Amino acid sequence: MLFLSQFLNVPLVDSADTVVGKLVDFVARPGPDGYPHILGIVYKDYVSKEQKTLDYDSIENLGGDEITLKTTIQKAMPFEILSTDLWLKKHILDKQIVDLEDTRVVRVNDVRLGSSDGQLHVLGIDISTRGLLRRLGLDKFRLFSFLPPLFIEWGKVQMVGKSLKLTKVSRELVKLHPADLANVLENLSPRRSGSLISSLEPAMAAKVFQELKPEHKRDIFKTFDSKQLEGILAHLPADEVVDYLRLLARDERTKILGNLGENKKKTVEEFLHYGDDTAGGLMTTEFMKINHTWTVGETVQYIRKVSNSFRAVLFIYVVNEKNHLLGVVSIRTLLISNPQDPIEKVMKRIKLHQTVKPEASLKEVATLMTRYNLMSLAVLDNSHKLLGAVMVDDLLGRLVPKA
Amino acid sequence: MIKERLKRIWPQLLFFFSVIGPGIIAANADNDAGGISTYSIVGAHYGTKMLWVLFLITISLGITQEMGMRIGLVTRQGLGGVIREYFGVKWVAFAMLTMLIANLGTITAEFSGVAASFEIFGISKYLMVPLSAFVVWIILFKGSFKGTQKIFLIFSAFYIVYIINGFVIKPDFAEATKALFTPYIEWTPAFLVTMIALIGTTITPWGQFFIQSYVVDKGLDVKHYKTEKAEVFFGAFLTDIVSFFIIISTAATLYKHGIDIHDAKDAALALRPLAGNFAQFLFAFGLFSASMLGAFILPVATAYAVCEAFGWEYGFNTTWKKGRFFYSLILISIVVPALIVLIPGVSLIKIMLLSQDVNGMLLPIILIFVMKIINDKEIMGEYTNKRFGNVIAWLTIIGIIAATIILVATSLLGIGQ
Repeated sequence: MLFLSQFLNVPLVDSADTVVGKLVDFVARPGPDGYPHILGIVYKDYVSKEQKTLDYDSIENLGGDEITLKTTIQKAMPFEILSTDLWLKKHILDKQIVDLEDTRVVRVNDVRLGSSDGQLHVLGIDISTRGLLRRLGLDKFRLFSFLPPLFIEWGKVQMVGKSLKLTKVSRELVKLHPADLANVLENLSPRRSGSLISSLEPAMAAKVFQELKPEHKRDIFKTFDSKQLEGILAHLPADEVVDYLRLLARDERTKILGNLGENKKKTVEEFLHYGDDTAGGLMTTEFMKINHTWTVGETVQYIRKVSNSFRAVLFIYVVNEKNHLLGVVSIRTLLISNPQDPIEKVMKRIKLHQTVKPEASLKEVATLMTRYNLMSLAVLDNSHKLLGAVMVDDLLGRLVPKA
Repeated sequence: MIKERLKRIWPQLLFFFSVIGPGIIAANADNDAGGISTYSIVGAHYGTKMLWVLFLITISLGITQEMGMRIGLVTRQGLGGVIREYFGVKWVAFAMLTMLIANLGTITAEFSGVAASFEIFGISKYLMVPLSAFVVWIILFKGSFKGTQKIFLIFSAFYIVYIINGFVIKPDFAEATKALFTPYIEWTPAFLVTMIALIGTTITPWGQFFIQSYVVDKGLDVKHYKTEKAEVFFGAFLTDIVSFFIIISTAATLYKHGIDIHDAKDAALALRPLAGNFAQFLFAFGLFSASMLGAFILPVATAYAVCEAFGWEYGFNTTWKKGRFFYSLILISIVVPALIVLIPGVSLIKIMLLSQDVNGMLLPIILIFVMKIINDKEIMGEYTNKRFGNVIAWLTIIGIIAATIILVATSLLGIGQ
């Protein structure tokens, strides 16, 4: 088995038997098979004390004791590095990566290489303790061969470092559930998760983004440049956009509003306008809603996944494709229903008079909640679309502010 | 308008209470067994002469803790993780070894503290040290780490008695204040040993790791920077106010009567003016809670840092199999120090003082890593150090290294013996 660490700092010997320098890094580019192929090396020149490059083809033999060149160093071909190239030591070794198989963040102990047809390529990532000992120079006599190898195949790896923009997003990454991905992102620094999100398709990025906890959202927003921001905002629902805008100063708001699509801009502006003492000002957009075509089982699965990003989950609103409110289903109903049951069968339908418009006063809200014994009151716009919900605790907090 | 304002103030207040903690806990845990005994010795053997050192290191403590906090907020990683990424595996192994030695030293001091507090009542260490090691182990594994930590944190607020005591004695505050700003040094090994211990017990390698992991664990980030900064400096101030009063208490009692500290009983005499015959009990109780707090936090903090750096799974919700490195590290850092304390005839007070010397001497290594990281634009972005912080931190590092070199030189040459 070949590992990156075996070759780092190994002396470079040219065909005239002169030691010209030592290996600093391998430079790779994605090959047709999806694995990065090593096309060049970076070495430290002993004469000029500078870092120089060589084309991988100029290497005759890659050994753990010395790396020999086919020609003299003068005749060897330098390699032109592109900004999109992957440096194995600088960008991967010792960094955190996302292990897509187990959806967790792990640290790279070594990079496993493979050679075929005179080509060297990256096979995967070593995250084993043995890899660690090898790096510390403690595995010379293979004393630790009893330790299990732990490899992650390259296809199951998503890089998260600064070089993220240089690497393609792994196809496996896109297959993950947005909530799983959000979980992984929350374990990374805001800058890293920000760059990981913005490397996704805007629609997917927006989905993942919504799954993040509010405090993470705020930090990650800060890491976007204006173009990324525009892309993501365009795919976010209006209430999320409003939440974001509320963090900004007035002139910045206007600028961002100007970049939104006409329809969304209208909704967002409406949201921003609701007075403090109206249902619209008090409502939250942080509640669970699901599509009416789901089954009880699917709903429960969904709750398991996303519940920790909500303050409390007592009930779930059911909407149709147009975001029209159909009904509500309580946790109790979900518990006692058959997982195969469609949600529409078990939900409680909500009548129009049991909802309010955003302009409604707090008194109206309180009256309705008392009359119908509601823990939360749905807020609908003129076209009966679900805008938000007023929670009983928020209402109480407003009515009895000093408690 | 008012409502609008209320709406803003309330979250801010909540916010303040939710982030209160890291700076103050780290600072409070600073006054552990090693801390109490070192400050007592400083006051008993040198009176108020070393107060100027305390004044300077209060500033250093605030600044170094703030740096660790800032690295945590920006990188969202522990110090070990950051060293691993930017210096590679060998440097992190070196840093971890340094921290491990320092921490094992400190944990040894904690168990010495437990032993010393019971020896005041004539209860043997051969009974109490294994017992308390066992209790630490059991609570860490079966009980609630956080709850227990809180209990001992409250207990360790007993330091307030030193402050009250400080007023009861009616010491010469004018003289103490003057001593805060009057540098004084003796070029003798004994003085330097005590001085390095004073530095090493106040600014600690583990404190550097602890503050950083704590802000990461709490999910704090850059927007909390201002609140955290205030809290860290407040914590540094608070911890050293307590240190100040321990020193002047012992100075006004033991130093005045020329009593050297040989065991915990001697140190307890400082509380006599306030507590009378109750002093020994009070001191024993305080020393015990402070030692136990340290004995809880340190093994876990050590294991967290090492596991993060090497990419091993950690946390109490991992299984034994997956987290075997994590659990082994905790076990080792409880058992080895406990065994050292059990060696017949060792001087508990000396262990407590010398372990702080080990901490002090190893501190520059950790601080140099911190300095390298905090001044790296690639890591810190716009949050790199300002010049003031750099100057103070480097002066601290150079100061400790110089003191260590002089200590070694004077010891070898036998000057001032």
